[in-house]
Amino acid sequence: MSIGATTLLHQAYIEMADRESVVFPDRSRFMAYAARVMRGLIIDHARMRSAEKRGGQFHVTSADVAVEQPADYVELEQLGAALDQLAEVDPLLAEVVDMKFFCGFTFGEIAAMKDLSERTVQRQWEKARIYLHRKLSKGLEG
Amino acid sequence: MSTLDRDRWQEVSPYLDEVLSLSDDERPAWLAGFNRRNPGLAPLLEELVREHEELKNKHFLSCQPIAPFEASFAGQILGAYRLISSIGEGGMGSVWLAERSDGRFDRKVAIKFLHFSLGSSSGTKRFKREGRILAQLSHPHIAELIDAGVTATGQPYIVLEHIEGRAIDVWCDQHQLDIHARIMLFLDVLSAVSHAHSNLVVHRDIKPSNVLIRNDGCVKLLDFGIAKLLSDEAESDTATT
Repeated sequence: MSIGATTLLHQAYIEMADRESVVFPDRSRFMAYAARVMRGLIIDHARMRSAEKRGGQFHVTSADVAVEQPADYVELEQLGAALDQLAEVDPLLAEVVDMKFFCGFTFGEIAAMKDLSERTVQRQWEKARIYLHRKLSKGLEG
Repeated sequence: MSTLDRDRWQEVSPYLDEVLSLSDDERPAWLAGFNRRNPGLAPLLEELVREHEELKNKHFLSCQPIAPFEASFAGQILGAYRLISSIGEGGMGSVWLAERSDGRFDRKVAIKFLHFSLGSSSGTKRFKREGRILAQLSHPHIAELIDAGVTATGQPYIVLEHIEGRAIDVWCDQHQLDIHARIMLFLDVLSAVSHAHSNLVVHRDIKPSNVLIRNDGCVKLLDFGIAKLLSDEAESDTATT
């Protein structure tokens, strides 16, 4: 399936506007929150599509690598669960994944938003990948 | 195999930072030293570093779940059409040049992908129905809507007559047209609008970039009724959510 980026943006806005009482201390905190909302919406969409039995496949397409990997929503949901776990253990790493994987920001953009060096963000991303891959391949108890 | 709970992760995390910032050549020696200093934690750290090496050759998380699928679209077949190249990116979606894949006609077409997803199958049906109504809007000065459909991944698209030409304002200036010639062109625009209105179709977004003059001088209005397709989608969204 494909969600238009614009649609996603609108939905994310609506989702956040509903909670007007939330106040963010800084831009970085806001971005982290917005990225988590994005993640939720993408996984919800995948689940909805799957329920509609229209193939139920979520096309994971890369812009730079011309490989298309169909990943079903179960995979995305497991990723979501592993990310929730990671957010408990190491919240900064989970934020990087939300921003990079679910929102498509580059390392440079994330570094600027978080006021970190690009190298640091890249290493956080690598650490998060190790954690998530291990959790997904060994089950969440691993 | 050790489990990776919260405490273990936080214990190993700073060393993981350290080892990941080393080059591939430096790692074995560093890990050997770490094994002597901290034999309790070394096996887990080594395991994680191995995992890291394996991940380098995998595309794990390297593809985004939001499909920016235009990027790898050239050459793909969509219905009866083969996409050739991207020819534009507008507010409503990206536009591709395409040709019939069955070779029945030479004619090239423009395929416009609309940047919204159809949330439900009834939305999809309505989109197709509207597309068919618009396809009946036949007038020499209206760019023909040839077909409409939805990709396998759920994105709606419309197939339009491909027009090689320029926006009306650019055309008039380039050809230094006098008032009379400009008004003659404008009358053609009006006849197209009038035809649509008598068929109960409104454009809603007429602007120079939507009024092209084909290279042979013929006026062509683009994007008739697309605003309506989009707003129907928006209205049905609010109605059902």
